Amino acid sequence: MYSNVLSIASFIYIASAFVLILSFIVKKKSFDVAGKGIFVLAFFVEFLYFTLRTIETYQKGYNYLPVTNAFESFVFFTLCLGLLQTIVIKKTPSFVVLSSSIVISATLLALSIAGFSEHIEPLIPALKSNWLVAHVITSFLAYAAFAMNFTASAFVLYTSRNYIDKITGSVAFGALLSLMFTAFIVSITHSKPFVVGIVFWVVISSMLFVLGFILKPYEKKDWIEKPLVFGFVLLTIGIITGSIWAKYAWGGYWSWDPKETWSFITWIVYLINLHFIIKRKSVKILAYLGIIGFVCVIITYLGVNFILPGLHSYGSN
Amino acid sequence: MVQIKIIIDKIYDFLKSLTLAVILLSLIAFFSAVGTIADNVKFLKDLGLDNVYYSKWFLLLIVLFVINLLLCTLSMIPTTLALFRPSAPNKTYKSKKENAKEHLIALLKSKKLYIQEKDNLISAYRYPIRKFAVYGIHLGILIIAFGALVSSIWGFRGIMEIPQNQSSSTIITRNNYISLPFAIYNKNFTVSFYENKDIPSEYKTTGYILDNNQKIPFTTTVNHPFVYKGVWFYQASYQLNPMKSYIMLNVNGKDVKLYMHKPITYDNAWFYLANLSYYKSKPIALLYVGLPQGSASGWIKLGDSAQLGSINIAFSSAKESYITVLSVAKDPGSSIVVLGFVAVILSSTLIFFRFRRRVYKVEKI
Repeated sequence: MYSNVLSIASFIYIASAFVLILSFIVKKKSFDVAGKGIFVLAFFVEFLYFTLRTIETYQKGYNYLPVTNAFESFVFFTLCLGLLQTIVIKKTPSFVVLSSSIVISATLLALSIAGFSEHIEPLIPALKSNWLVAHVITSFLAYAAFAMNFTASAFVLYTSRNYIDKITGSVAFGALLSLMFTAFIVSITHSKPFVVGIVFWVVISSMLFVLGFILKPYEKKDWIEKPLVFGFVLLTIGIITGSIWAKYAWGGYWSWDPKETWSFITWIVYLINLHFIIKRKSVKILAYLGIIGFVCVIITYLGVNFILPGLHSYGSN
Repeated sequence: MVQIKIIIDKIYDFLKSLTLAVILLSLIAFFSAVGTIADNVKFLKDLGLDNVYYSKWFLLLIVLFVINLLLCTLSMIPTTLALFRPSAPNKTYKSKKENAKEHLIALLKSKKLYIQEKDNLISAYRYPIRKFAVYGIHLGILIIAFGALVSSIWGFRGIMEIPQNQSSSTIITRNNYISLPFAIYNKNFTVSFYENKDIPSEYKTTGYILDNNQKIPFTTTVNHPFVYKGVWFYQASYQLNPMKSYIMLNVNGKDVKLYMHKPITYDNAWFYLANLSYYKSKPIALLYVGLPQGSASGWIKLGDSAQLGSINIAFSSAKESYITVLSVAKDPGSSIVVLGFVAVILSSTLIFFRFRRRVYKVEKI
């Protein structure tokens, strides 16, 4: 019903991305500020959408936070990323804000063509629990923080002078941008998303690879470390709250269900990354682990729901 | 002798090292990942990797990790303690006053700093508790591991299948059967739906616990288990009981009782009930009807009727009988695990505080 509001939000996010890209080219402080301002505006519009949808859900008498099916969870992921980014926006370098707005726009655009049901439906018995809110909010804030860690990691590799690093960075950013362009093209031409996606991925990654030589190497650890620590603590709390919920729903804290297992693997990757931060390992090792970690996040979040069947499979319809 | 000691020291150093932790965690992560796809990949399944989580060597990896974590944590204690002894000053406090030291202490205390003093050195700490976060988290993980161990030795987990109006005390676990000293009687299992929707709103079993002539009533729904004598019971699933489920068909004005999977002949026609389900919260039946001139099949909704050749059939009522499936668990380590959870959560929030340590050398001018 309010999906227009969401569309407006995603277009404002895209606008902020464009302004921030411009600010990279013209190198003017005012563009920087404008881009960040537009980002914050987009977040508030998206938050308005979320509030409206929550109100509508409650009005229908279903009484839950709209975070329970695939469509809602994607929106909630982008909302969490928008929130984190907005909170730290003053201190954030513009490339991080740019990456965040690309991640959000790409997700929302891809979501608009994915064809998930936007209907507000009542909750199935398994999801009717007070633990739902705590589990989902902590997990998704963690995912959002890891997305920031991922883009900072990719940026470090992308601006590196080493070819393998640069290719990895280009491919990582290429994946994000190609997701966005693929969604755009597929929604207009109705062509096969998989083929278009691969073509875009290859083309954009190679273009990025060439373009990347104009950037100076960026080797600061700040934007790798801070989101990682925050995300790790929240993922830990997310796994624990999920575990307690599982105890009440399925009879045990841990069942080695695919989603549980992959969240555990994700946790281990970030755990290793965290200890490497403490041991002051080189920024490149942290960056590579950031990329691997986020691949694990995506498998946990998407792969398990859509490919591997398990106790969490209700998220797929 | 000296050589043996060197070797032992080396082994100990390796056992407590972060390197070993990373190796073990990577192996655990790798085999966990393989385990999630092994079900679909034949050669992995042949290796038994689909159940890798319950294998001896996976357990060995976890045990090694616990030892590693314990030793690593213990080996950190001296460093932490040293941090709370004033040494190697990084600030100098110069004052002409006679009681310069007391003056500085009062000043630092007014800033709500934690103070340690030794000779002419004073160390001041902001958020000293931050340095104990790592112990809290590591200890929490060890407590969780201990709780899991307790549960795996003295606990069990399985399922119980109880048809309606029957009782059972047998639990089917992953590789065994367990008999409870009391029985669970399933009086009724119901599925409720949201109004005009195909989405279930509640699965509920009501019944009694039968223990030495005692009859204790219980009700359980998804997410709301009940506990009896330390054993937890959860509404996990359900099945239609084909032996007890039937529908009433009105065939040319006469009522016919048709059980599931039991074809009957009536008026030169045969009827077969293949399935019973719900659509928009109304019962629907998958019905096969055979007549001399041919056969027909399809889903029929409660209350609907159909004309097939010379016969008229109406679906007048349905009686489903369900087998409720309860998850059953005894988890004596549960409260230990919760303690570990609390330790991990509280300690990890400490990470957000910024620790600061300054050591002042007091000098009189």
